[in-house]
Amino acid sequence: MDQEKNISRSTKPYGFENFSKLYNLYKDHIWLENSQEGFYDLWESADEEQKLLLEKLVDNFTYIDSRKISEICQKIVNQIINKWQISSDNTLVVATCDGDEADGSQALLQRIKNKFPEANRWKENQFINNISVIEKYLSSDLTIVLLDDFIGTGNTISKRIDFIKEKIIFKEVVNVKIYLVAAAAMGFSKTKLDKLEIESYYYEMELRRGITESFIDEEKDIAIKSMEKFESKLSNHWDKLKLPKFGYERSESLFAIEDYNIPNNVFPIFWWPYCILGKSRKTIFARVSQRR
Amino acid sequence: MNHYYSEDIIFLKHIFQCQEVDIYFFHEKYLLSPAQLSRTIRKFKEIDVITEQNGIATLTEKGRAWIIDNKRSLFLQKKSRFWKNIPEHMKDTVISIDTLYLPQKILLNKFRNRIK
Repeated sequence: MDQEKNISRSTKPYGFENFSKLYNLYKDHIWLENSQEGFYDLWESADEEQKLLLEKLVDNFTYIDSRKISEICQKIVNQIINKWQISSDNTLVVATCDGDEADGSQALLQRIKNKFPEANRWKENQFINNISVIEKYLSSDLTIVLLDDFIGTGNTISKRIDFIKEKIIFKEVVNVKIYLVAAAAMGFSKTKLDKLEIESYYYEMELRRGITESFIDEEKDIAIKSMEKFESKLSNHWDKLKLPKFGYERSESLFAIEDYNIPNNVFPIFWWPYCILGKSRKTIFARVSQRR
Repeated sequence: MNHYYSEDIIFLKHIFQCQEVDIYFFHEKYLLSPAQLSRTIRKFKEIDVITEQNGIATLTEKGRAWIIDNKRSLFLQKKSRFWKNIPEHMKDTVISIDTLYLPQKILLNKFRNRIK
């Protein structure tokens, strides 16, 4: 029924109005319970306008728990097998991960692979957890289904597809079809995805920018100022990483999958671990950075 | 088996006595946090022990009977003392095996004095 996790008491009493706002947020968004100290700290540092912004951001946040990710995986499999009619013959499902580090696409691949029916002769060796080894699997008339957990700007996925195409030319194989699937993608990445020269792409959830596509007119200006105010309290660097204001390339994403690394496209107030002057801060989500 | 936290027990005691309680009362009196209260209320709403409307929690008939039936396990069981466990973030880095360690002289002297 509930997790074995102790939640701390408040350190000081909130006024009735503040309490009601917080209580309603927790009531509607159970995922906030995982990180209550991070959220309280953010809330307490906020003025009234920033609190309004926080409420809206939390309301618009897409949090995928393990039950939901399982449903999404099923839909992705359905898309591959039934809609695209891709058979198991000469097909590879490949995670977009290209390094040695654990990656969200690998985690999704692991979840998805058992959902492919064995009756259709899908075998374990058709699921490749690292795109960098694709060369040795390339052959003519091959179908590649690239898999990622989240598409932010679309830059990474474009690079991965270019990489595969280079290898296809290098290995002189022909008639290789590339498909792309993801659990979620930012709506604005569609322009980039449309330009990819692949057979087709599919993602289960389309997300909009958290401020510029969710607020209008004066509210939008106030929200931008409030976010800038929040971010002015964060350190500009985390080791060699520069603070990605409003998320990587101003993606303004509001998205997380339970127990996955949060994408750097998400507003850094949710995950950036240092305040100004290098003091560490409690965050709502955790992110282990790759490039430091 | 369901796990009941101290905030669950506090909540049940009060609602059993008063039948109807303003949720803010638990925050004001016991400093139960919004997160704790939201979890507690959700837990008991799911099994129809209480209803909640406009920040007021009300004990149902079924809930009253349920508390009476479970009073022993709810109120008389020894709770685990989670606060005695040192949180991970407060622990110092563990020195790896075979690492040379230089003790602080001042602490050694203290130790020696104690033995005497």
